[in-house]
Amino acid sequence: MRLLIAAAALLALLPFGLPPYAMTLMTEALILGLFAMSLDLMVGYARLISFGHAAAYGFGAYACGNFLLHTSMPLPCAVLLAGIAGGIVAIGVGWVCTQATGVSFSMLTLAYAQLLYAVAFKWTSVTGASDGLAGIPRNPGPFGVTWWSGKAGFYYLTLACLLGAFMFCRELVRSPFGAVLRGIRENEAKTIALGFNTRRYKIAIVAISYGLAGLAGALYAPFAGFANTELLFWLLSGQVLIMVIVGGAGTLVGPVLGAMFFLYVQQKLSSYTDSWALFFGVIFILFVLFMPEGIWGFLRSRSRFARKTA
Amino acid sequence: MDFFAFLVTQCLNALSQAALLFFLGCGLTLIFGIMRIVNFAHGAFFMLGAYVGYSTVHWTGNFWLALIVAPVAVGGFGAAFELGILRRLYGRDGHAFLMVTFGLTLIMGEVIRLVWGVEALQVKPPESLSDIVFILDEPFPVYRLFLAGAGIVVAVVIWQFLERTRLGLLIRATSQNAEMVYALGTDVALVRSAVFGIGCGLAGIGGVMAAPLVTASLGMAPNAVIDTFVIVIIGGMGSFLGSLIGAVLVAFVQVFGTYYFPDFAMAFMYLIMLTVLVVRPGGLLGKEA
Amino acid sequence: MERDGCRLLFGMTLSSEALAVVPKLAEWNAIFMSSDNGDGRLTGESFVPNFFRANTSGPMGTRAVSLYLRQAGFKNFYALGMDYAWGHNSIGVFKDEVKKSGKNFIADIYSPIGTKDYSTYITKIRQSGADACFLVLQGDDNNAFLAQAKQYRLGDKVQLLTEIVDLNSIHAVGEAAIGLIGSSRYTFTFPGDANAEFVAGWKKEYGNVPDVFEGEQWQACLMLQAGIEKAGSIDADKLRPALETVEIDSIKGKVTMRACDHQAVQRGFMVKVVHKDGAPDPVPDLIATFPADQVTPACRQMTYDS
Repeated sequence: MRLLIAAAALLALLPFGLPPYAMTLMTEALILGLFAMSLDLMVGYARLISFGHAAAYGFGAYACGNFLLHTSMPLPCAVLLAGIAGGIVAIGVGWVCTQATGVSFSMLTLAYAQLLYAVAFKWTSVTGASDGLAGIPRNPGPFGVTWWSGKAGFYYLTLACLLGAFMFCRELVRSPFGAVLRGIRENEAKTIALGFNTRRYKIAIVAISYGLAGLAGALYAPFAGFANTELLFWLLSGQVLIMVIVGGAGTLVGPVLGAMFFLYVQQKLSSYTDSWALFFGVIFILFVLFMPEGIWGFLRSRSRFARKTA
Repeated sequence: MDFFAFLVTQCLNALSQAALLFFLGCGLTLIFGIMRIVNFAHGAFFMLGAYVGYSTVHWTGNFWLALIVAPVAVGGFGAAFELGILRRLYGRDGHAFLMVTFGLTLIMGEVIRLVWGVEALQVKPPESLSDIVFILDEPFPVYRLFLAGAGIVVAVVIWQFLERTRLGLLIRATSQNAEMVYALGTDVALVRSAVFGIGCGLAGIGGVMAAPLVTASLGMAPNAVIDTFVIVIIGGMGSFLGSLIGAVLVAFVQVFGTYYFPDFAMAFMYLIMLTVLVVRPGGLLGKEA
Repeated sequence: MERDGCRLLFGMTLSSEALAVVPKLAEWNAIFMSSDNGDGRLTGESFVPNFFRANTSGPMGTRAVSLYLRQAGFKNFYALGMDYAWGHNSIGVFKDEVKKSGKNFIADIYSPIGTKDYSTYITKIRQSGADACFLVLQGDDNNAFLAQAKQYRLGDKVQLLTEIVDLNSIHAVGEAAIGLIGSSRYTFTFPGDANAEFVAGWKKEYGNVPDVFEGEQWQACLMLQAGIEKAGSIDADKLRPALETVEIDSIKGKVTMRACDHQAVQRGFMVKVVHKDGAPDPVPDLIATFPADQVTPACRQMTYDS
């Protein structure tokens, strides 16, 4: 808990020290961190590997983009609403995907994501097809409230969402619900034998996870000012999975660190060399071989202090 | 064009398409069936096959030679990778393989770009295959007939290999019960390396055969990965026959579907996949449910 | 842009990226000189004052094709395009032009990006009875289509017309490109001293000939340079009015920037890909030139009145 407060305080103070472009980068890192954390709920706590998480992200971005462009809904409302919408839609997705288990489950999530990608490409009126939605505004609230329109303001909004989501997730995984999830992760057959309807729990966690990912996407739309089909592409699903694993699955904090690490390395490498993808690939392979528990997992095993939290 | 001629030519088109998809799917399903590895880099191996084929044709002018060199080179590289890196990961959970093969895709993509450049490269088929034949008065490229034929030949060869040879027997046994095979004295590790090599080799030959149709280009890998996964999911992960059925099904639906409903061309593959999975979650002939 | 405080933006290839970036130009107070972006909307409904386009736009390219059609003998047309904004946009303009010239537009069809097997599309084109087909494809898709169309000998029956002819494609498909007629934003075989000098200089430095985008980028650089020299600064507020009246004698002939929508007014060209003895690849040969005022649309427009 102390670590959490310290981290939150540090993040809150950042806008006072950093130049504008670094602020933009940090905001993006937080958004990706939220995205990765949402995936961790499924991957780390229930061992449901989603290959299609970009679908949730893109859905959130398009939903929020449409709300902001076509209505005068205040930005925070649009963001939250988009996230909730994502979660509700994901109940259906979860129902279909949990028909299967293991690899088949993962493949179904990929199928759904690719279908959404194909649909988005064609549904010009809602998604702007391949061009996407551009010029997404940061709508003001009632009484002309606009503190979220500037860089620092938006950063705080993102930070608030991330912290809020984090605390929600933490309570969730510590609750009896979370215990059942871990039961499903460790030994589903036994959990069923204990009388739990594991399918329902799985659908629930898929909905929550996709909803939070949708929230992240919804933050991205007004952040960048646009939303396009790249946000639904399977490469992004692969990248966020990497963030979770590099950061440390099943820890909630790990994936956020993983996202920051990923973004940082990508920025740094791409400014040095055109072949940054090559180094990226090598780094991942090295991680898997030598640090499979991820950054946070590694830090936790090394530090007594860290072990006290989460 | 009368309807019968249309039907025949479109079926041939679909068969040639199915052959390419089959090369990809068969390799991936073999690898998954034996090693429980989801080889994310399969598309990259496909692409590598196309580029190795290009270089072979470029230096020797002999396409037939490329048909041998490409799968051998790509398969060899795959086996080496399995020996060097994948071996360390057995016993760990599935996502380690996923990460590593994803990393491999990134690396291979970059290396290919550095070695061969960003421009698409032409791979010319040999003179004997460049002509057209007239099927019921409609012109049809000989090369596509060759592809369809090659697909059938390879399918039969692999089927016989799995059914009749000792290594084939070991492969089938390992996919069902690896521990027992090990207990009976077989070097399971060797079987695994062989399978990974064969699987990648199949992707490689698919690549070199596809190259005259689409040119060797860097965009091949991402497209191929998705296509392969779809075929194998539909057919059932780990089922050789499933990959054949999946390839034929997808190719036919694509060809005829695009003709009658071009607006949905992109969605067909995924719709089939979702339908199959909802009805039979393990795929048509899959082992998992 | 933000990190280094940049004031000039140059070299963005994709129109979709340009469309996404353009709303931010005012915030950054930066000038964007396009050398490759073809989307008509950038000087149309999505226009912002800090955006300038030195290159031929998509509609202008299509227009050159349609002007050529009025002289050529084709009567029935089919169209195949990539299924996204550029494909639909260009074919829309083309359809319009065909109807205006009193010819017959049979149908259009769109292929998803990343299509590898064009056999169905080739069959449809062949069956339609068209004598010419307009193609709006690029990159890997374009290469795959051309290679396969040649295998089916489609070119023997239907004249293939394209919006963009580039050397990368020709190099990738080789003989399959021969016979292709298309509009060209820039080709190294264009006449004129300015171009000859540019091509010679390029050959000396890079050992090969410049392609479409390279020529367009050179022209854009020349315009930007002229503007900066006139303004004496790269400050957006000084550079903008200077660029609005720039006129240069370029590798494409006389090119004038237009103040009302920042589109450079320039000639349109049609080329045919032919085999040339001594050259390793086929080359695009100039077959028609159209005056600038006929090819450039009216201010902020993407379509033409006549």
